[in-house]
Amino acid sequence: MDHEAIHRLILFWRKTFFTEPILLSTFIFCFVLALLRHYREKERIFFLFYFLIGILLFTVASPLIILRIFSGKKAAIISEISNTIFELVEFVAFYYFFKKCIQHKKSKIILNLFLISLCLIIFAYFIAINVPSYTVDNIREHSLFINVIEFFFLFILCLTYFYELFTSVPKIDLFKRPSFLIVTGTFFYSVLMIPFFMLANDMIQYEEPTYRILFAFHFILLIIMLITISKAFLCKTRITI
Amino acid sequence: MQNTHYDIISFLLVCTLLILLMTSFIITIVYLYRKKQLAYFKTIEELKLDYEKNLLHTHLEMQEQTLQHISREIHDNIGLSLTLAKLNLNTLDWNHTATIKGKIDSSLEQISKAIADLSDISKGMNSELIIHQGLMEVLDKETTRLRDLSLFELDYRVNGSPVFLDSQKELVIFRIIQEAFNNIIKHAKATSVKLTLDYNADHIDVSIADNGKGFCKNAVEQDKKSNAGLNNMQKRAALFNGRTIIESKIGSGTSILITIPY
Repeated sequence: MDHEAIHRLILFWRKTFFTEPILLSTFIFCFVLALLRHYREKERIFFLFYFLIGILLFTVASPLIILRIFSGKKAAIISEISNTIFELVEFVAFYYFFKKCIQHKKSKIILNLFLISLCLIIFAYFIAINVPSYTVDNIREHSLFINVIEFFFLFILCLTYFYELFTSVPKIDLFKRPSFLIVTGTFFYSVLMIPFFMLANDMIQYEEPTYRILFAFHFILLIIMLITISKAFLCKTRITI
Repeated sequence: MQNTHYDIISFLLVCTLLILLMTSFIITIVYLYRKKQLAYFKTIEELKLDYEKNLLHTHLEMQEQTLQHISREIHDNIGLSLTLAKLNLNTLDWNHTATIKGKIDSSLEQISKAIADLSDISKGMNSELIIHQGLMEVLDKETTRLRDLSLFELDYRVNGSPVFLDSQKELVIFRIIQEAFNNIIKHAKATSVKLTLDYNADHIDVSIADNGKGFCKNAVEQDKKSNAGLNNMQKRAALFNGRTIIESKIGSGTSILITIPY
């Protein structure tokens, strides 16, 4: 990487108050922790894969855009496809997590419906991207819309988990339950991101500096969520308890 | 542009409100969960105390019954044997040597019977035996003792792989079986009794069936003394989440099935 590229990268990171490299470090830390403490548990392994995709997103996909290796529609496609894949993997990791946490049959049916809906929407989006009349604005707007849907689904799942806390036998202390830590972090993250991503498209076009500040806030919330997941990983019990 | 400014300010206000709302929501969840947990632990404690109280009550009842049984046995059998032995020895006529040997032999027989009866009572009432030897061994000895009495034919079977239960459970099961046998000896006039222990995957079935004269359940339920015995069996099984099914018809014998989970 030459000096100009590094300089461009640092300038970009400065706009988001260096939260992106901190987020990347957090992903690496979570990945190493998950590698050491997966205990062959399915839910932990899916989170491990999620951390790996996060690392790839911020080490491969992001720099490709920042360093303007691609431009125009191609850059938008690469950026939004990588973000969408990241969101899909994130949701799949949470799907397996909530599948074990949630006990009611109807809730599990809703969980499955959420996964199927998200997959169908993403599939339709990937097909639409190849349509020539699909503009860069459309690509960005619909990608943000997928974000909103994903966070909305996560929000509903978090509420379902909180509801089931009161229908199950309260044998274990709440703060000793790894699942409570993960769900609380996810709850804050998903609820605060819904309004942000709903306004993001307008902000990018008219108030980019403000958008960058709020995007940094998004990274901070994601870092907090990753910390709660890593705290859960430190518990020797199943993370779905 | 102005619209976007307005949107951003609204967004920040909404975010702040959401953060406050969600924090209060999480605090409320934690508080309500803790409250529910304390109520749950309190219920568990109460159930534990209740169980221990019932167990103690059952033990005291069993002890009381044991003492009553010992008292009856001493009065009816041992007392009688020793009285006869004493009578024989008191009426020894040294002038008639022919009768002396007969009377001494008879006295010895009565004293031996009294010693044997005392030994049986001791073994039957010794709870320590059950705790140390286990239900199977104690039942083997008890059935051998009952067979030796030759009051009825006793068919004793064990099906499945025996499981070592908690000593308290085994003691209560043994006492229930003893009570059933005492009832058969006292009331049923049976010629054949079948005792079966079925060790299943998650519970034990104990069935005692006789071909005695049977009884009318309604009549027994109205008689407090007889009903107490049947109720005791049911209460003791219920102490360990088990149940007792008693079926009887006049002239057709009685069958008792006790099911206790491991």
